[in-house]
Amino acid sequence: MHLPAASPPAPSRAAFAAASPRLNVADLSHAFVSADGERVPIFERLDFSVGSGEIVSIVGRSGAGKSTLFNLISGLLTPQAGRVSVGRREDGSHGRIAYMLQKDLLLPWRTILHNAVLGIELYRKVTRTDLERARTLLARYGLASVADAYPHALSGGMRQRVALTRTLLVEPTLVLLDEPFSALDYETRLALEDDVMALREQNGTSVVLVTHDIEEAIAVSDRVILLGGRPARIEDDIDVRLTTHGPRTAISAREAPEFRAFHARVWNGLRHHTIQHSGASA
Amino acid sequence: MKPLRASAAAAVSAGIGILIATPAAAAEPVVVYQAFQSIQYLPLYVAIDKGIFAKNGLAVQKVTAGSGAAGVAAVIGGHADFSLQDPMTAVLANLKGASLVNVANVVAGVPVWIIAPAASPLKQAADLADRSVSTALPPSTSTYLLQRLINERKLRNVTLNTVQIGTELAPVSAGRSDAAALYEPQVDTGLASGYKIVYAFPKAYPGGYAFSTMDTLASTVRTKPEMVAAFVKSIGDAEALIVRSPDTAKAVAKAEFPSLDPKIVDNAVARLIDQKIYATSPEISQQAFGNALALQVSIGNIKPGAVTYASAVDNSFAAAAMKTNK
Amino acid sequence: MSDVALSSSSGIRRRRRATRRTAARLGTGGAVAAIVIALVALWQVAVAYGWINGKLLGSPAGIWQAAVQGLDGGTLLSDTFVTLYETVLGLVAGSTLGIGLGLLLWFVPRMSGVAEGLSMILNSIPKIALGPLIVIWFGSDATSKIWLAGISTFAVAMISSCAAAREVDQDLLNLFRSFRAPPAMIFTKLIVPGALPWIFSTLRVNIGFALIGAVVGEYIASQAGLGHEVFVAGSLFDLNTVWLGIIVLTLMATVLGGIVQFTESKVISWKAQR
Repeated sequence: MHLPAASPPAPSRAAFAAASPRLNVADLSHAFVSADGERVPIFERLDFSVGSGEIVSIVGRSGAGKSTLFNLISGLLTPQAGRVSVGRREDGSHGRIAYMLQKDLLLPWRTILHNAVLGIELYRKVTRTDLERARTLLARYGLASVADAYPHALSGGMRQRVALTRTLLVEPTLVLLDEPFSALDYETRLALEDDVMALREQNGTSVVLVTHDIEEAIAVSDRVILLGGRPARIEDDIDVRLTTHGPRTAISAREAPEFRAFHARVWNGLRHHTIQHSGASA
Repeated sequence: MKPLRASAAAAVSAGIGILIATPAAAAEPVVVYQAFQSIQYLPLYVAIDKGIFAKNGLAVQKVTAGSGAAGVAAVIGGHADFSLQDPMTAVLANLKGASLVNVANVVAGVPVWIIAPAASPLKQAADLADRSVSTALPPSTSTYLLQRLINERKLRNVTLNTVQIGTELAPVSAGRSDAAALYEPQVDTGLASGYKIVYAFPKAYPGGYAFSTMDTLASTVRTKPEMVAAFVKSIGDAEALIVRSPDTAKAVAKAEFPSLDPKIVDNAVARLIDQKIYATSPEISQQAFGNALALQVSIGNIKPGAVTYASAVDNSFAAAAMKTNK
Repeated sequence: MSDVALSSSSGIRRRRRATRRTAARLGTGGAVAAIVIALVALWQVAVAYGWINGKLLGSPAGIWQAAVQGLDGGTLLSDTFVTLYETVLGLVAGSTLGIGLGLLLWFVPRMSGVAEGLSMILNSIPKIALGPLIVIWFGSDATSKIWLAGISTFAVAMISSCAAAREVDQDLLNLFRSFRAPPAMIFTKLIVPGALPWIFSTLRVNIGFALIGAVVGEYIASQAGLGHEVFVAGSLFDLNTVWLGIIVLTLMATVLGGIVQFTESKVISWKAQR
């Protein structure tokens, strides 16, 4: 029998952590104060970190607190206790988080090119070099021909690619994604998953992907973190190791023999803890 | 005592009996549209408030139209039996194919004065040259009179500041105009604040002036002659009452214009009576009508020869009313 | 890549849709014109046969004559210019102030709510009631008309701009903040461009309000202008001139509206074709 050539095993978590973490969430606690003053804790002393070049997915049932965690990490919300720290780059300068949502958030009155450089424009003057970098990056995603068009002329998938370009042009150390592909068709989604995985190869950018799509999480990530319970905590932190035909892609990952097992582990993990909690509240 | 009471009782019951016996026509409803609520229209108010219409068998409802044209339009459209305004408005409508007739004179003189603030150097009409005069928006007769005065006296460079009727004093007190051409009670309001008269229009018209009259449809005259006769007679009675008893007139005026200073009302009514502005009889003479027509012709609104007295005035009711009063 | 092919074919589809739309619009416009012409013809016939009193109520022939008279030695052109001047100045002044202030109040959200409330009160005042006051304050020349036109347009523009600034997409706002953009930059790069569609629709609405303000002012006190002519003609039972005034005012509003529409299509060229 001819065994498929196994791809080299992914570097272990230890190897990632050896380099200083790109993101460190320590002791994070946050609560939601309802209209009648009741304090509903969402997180209590959450701890995790993301290493350089690591792709981590955060999955959980709806309402588990994924969006709140997203807002806390991106800095849109200030945590009531604990710390979210962004690791520095190799050269010692500050790290930077950039994020992408399900909405592409392109400004309809700007061309694709000027949407792409929006992030840069907001903190310094845009130079010729920036514009050239933007065109190159857009070309890499197949958007060279529409660089001077307006967003309304593009399909959803193309617009999300522009958003990705905008996110990458500010040279983030960590890219934070909140279900960015769920509104797109399957084929486009697979293509964009490949783009996300390629980030690691090209720039060593770390990625935190918040999603409810378990398949996507497993296909793309090095680690999958299960968020669940009330208050939410890390139920499981799974190292995803897949043996793929050739290099790991969105398709080849799904065809890997271990895929089903990881899927079941995540799925059961979510269901189990949900039943447990609903049982506890009954 | 007893026989007196008995005969008194008999007289009363006899009187009541007569009243019941006479086919007491329930008072006939009549609608009059007046262009404005104006102290110049006092004869109408006296006829209503003093029960004169009622005595002649009419229940008159007064409606303020807002403008002369609106009143005439109401008569044409059948919403009003009579309208009270410049007779020339009815004439203009006739030129467009309506058939209205003027039946009773109410304002028989020209109630327009030009006044200026106390400190003003203006003393007579000639001083108006190079000045600004505030006056009511056309088609107010006051403005036409002013324009004719300017043309006749060849006063150069007089600017007319046309404003809503009744607000002519405002530009003068704001310093935007030097004088105002206006009606009562604004005239006496101004005089009470120290203004003085620069030119008075009332004196200039012998034979009177048909300034404001009651008009009605020619068809109404044909189909309801008794009603028209009773109406015109009532107007005549009211005009006579004003002459006989100025105090009654002033009392009615104060009741009709409660927001005005009573002293100003008294002065205005006294001036209007004194200058013979209120018609002393409802008759519209040829001369009076002719004076009014001449103004419109001089302004150019009506072509000479287009209108005759006979086509626009039915003086028969007024003449009959005067005969019964003699 | 398939995406590139898609974009050019969608371009062809867009052009075809545009042609169909123009044809549809011409068809609708043609139908409207035909109906109007038919009604006018019917009117003239009714007058000719005496079913309607053309002298009292006006007739198309009479209106035409009034137009010819008005142009040839009459005051039609100067009156039109006067009213146009009052309308445009009131429109521009009121809208500019209202929009500028309404947008700038984005920086002070608490005041924005107060200002919006005050504008709504201002807008509720019937201008006809306010008119005599304005005329007494500002006289009976063009100034009072410009004020009347300006007040209505200001209130509407203010309310609309406060709302437009407020309605900005929260996620877009957060995106800008995540890039540490200072408020001034958020204002110029997000709030203002995002408010442009609102601004143009406000301008279109304000044309009507400005015109009403100017005409109402002319009814109350004026020496010239289309409203003045209509008012005087009405009181002299010259309905042909009244109709003429109405027609010219309508044309004025239409032309102004067209100018705004044209400017909008040039400035907001990015608007998705629906």
